[in-house]
Amino acid sequence: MKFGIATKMGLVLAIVGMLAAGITGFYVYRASRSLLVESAKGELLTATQVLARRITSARQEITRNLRIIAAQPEVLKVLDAADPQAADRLAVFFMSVMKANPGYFQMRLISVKNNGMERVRVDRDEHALLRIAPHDLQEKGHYAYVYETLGLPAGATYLSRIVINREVGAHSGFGQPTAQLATPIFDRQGKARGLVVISVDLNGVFDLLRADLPAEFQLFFANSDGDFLIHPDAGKTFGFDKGRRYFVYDEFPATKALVENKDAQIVTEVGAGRYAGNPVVAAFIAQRVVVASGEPSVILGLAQPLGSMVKQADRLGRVMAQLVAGLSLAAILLALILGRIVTRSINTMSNAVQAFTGSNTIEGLPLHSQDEIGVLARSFDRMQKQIRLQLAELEVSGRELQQLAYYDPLTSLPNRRLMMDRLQHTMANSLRHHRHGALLLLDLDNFKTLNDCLGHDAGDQLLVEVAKRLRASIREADSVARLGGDEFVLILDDLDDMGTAPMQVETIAAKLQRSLAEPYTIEIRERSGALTQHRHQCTSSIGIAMFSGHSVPAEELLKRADSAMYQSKAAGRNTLRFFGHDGPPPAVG
Amino acid sequence: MASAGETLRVLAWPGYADADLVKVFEQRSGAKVEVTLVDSDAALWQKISSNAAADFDVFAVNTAELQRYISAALVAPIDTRGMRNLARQLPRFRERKAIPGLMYGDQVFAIPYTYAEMGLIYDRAQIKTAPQSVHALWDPQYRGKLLAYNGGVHNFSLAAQALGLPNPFQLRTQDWPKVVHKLIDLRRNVLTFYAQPDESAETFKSRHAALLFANYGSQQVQLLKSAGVDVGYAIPGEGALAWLDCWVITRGAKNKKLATAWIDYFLETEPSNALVLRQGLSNTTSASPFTRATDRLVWLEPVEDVDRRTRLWERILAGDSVDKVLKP
Repeated sequence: MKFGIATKMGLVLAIVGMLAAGITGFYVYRASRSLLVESAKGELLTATQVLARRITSARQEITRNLRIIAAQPEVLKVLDAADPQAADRLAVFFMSVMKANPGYFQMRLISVKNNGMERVRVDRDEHALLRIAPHDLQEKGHYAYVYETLGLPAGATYLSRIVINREVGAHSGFGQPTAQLATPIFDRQGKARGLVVISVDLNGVFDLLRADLPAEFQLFFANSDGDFLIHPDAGKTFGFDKGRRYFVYDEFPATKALVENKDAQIVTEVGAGRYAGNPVVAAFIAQRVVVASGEPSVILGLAQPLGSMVKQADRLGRVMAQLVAGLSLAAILLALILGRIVTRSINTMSNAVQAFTGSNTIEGLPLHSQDEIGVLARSFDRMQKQIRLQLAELEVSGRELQQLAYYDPLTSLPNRRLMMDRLQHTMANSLRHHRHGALLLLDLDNFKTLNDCLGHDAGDQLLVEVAKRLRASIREADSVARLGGDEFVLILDDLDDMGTAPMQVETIAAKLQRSLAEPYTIEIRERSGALTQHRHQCTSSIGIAMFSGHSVPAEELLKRADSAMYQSKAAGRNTLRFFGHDGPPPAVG
Repeated sequence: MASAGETLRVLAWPGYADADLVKVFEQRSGAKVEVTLVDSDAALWQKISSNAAADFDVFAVNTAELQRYISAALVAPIDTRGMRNLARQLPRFRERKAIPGLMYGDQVFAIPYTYAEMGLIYDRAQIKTAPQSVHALWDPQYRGKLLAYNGGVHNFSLAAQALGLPNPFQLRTQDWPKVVHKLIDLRRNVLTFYAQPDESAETFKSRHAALLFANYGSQQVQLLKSAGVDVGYAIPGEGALAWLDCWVITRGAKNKKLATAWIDYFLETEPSNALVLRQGLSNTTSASPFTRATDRLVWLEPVEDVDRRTRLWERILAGDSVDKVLKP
């Protein structure tokens, strides 16, 4: 397949344009994608920190509630067993607090006496609040949240380990992820008398937190050992309670640094295990528990599918791809137009040059173009002018050459060569049209004497004059030629029929002889340089050979005329003789 | 060896059949060994019973659990004649008839491999002489300073021992109120109940506890020692409850000779030492660093009613009174 310049150039331009657009587009997409991911990671970490603060403030709110309860005068009255109605009032108060806080499973007042016997207890049971009857109250002294809280100063809060509540009889809270928050109660003597405990529904807390998160976000919560407490797959939570532990660092290896207290926050990308095929970016924060607690710290994490993070980047990528396609199309169009512009000038020139061979002229060259094409066109123009000039010169010299080849330079009469050609031509014509013709060979008498006496210049002047007179004497259809020296030939064509032709010829020949016999004026340049005029008279002898058709070759005819001319000379000059006759000759057959 | 090209399918607990030990056995026998690990009694039962024991050739199980495998005829008697290493075992393990549940008639169903006893760990700074009896757990002078295990089955056996009942694993109807009462007394005497070894060590140290019922035995001794607590370890005169893991051969074993060779191999010095050094467990061929030969060990046996013990224990733990605990 052959491509024109326009195609090639267009192709190259289009490819360059498309490559430029494509590469730029690709790198812009890549850079913006990683920028987006980075900023999304930052946002994720911020979101996690916000969640962590909300957990803290949720905890602080519980602490406030604990302090409010601890400050109730009924609390000490119950512990002192001073006022039988005090427990009822406190229970009502517990209920009002629990009504306002659906995330509370249970509220209790526990005495330090009787092995940590509960004094007032309200449980959440499905949607109802249940005050536990005195005989159903339990001894809780052996639980860490009891003995640890009792060791705290007034106003302090204790946060238990977050576990599955296995305390039989806990109603809704039983079997649920629970944290106990407690504050000690002191009497006026500063003696620890008991504690107020709020059991918090961990799922409730996290459901509230989760409610504000986009659905694609996954929430994780782990204790300081790394055991999952909240996980999208509930089967992986509280593994220590079921005898099979699931650690956050098994799923997110980077969180090992949090469990080992080497780092406070990490952002990690995970595409293996649970996230194979659906990689996520996750931010984790290790938060120290500031209150006294069985949990030294907790780990909070948020994971977002990488796919949703780069969704914006992918949208940008699509816009980029469209832009690149558009630019490529523009590059192709531009390349086509440019190719057309360049090839149009070239085509104009090419057409102009092709026309040159036909007409020897180049027209329509873009001579006024200012670019390289214009320069080329002007060069072409100069070249064609040069060529035309040379062609003209060639024509002139050709004509001169022809003159030299076929004419006698002195008299400008056809020479022997042209005469022979014309003779053959005339003879052929006579054959075709059954006409008669005659060949007359004329020789000047005593020409040599003139040459010898007055010089060649004088002879030449005579020959020129003779030629002039011969030309003037013949019919237009007839030819006169100079054979050489003082010999001339005349070809007479289209004569009358055979009977009268010789007479007709004789008349013409006689007329010629009379014309030539008229005196000549010859100018001679003397040695002194002066010009003198001589009068000269001259006769001529003529030999005639008649022809009709092509019965004899032209050469033979010439010989016959020559022979007749010599007879004429022999007869005393200034005469004429027909070939083959002494008198007026018959026509030759 | 004749078993070249065969495959031995082993079901074991973590640390029982480490890769390097397995490799030695493979080189010697020419057989290929496939080890599958379990981490709970329930998982073990599920894996063995689900396909009538046809998926494995040999597995490890404790004497208490073993009984239901024997009842379900999932295991086969072991031909001990070719087992040269049985003679290397300590006298208390050679006396297979003295260990309940190993033998039925003259048939041996299990070969003891490793064991751990539940002794008493005490803080030497607070308790000068080693406790002689399980009664120490009820001693008011340690009130709020002792840790017990949060496990119903063992705690009922422990209370039965303290009460001097004839068989701590088989409570009679009249025994229950007494035992529950005893356990409520225990609840009132302890600081708290623990579930995990590391949890127990942490609490023991942070709360300056004096006494600990070591459900995980020597493992807890080592944890506390490495935590810098100067502890002693005592086996009470009533005998320490002890679990004993044995190798058994399934009814569906394809090559019983190969399985027997496997069991015999693990009684050699190398595998036996690996139990002590790598797992902190005791083996059956050399004296334990934690117990004396004269110490009494009470091998765990199946109890009369696991569910009842568990249910009642949860009530006790929740703080219920005797009446409420004993309610049906």
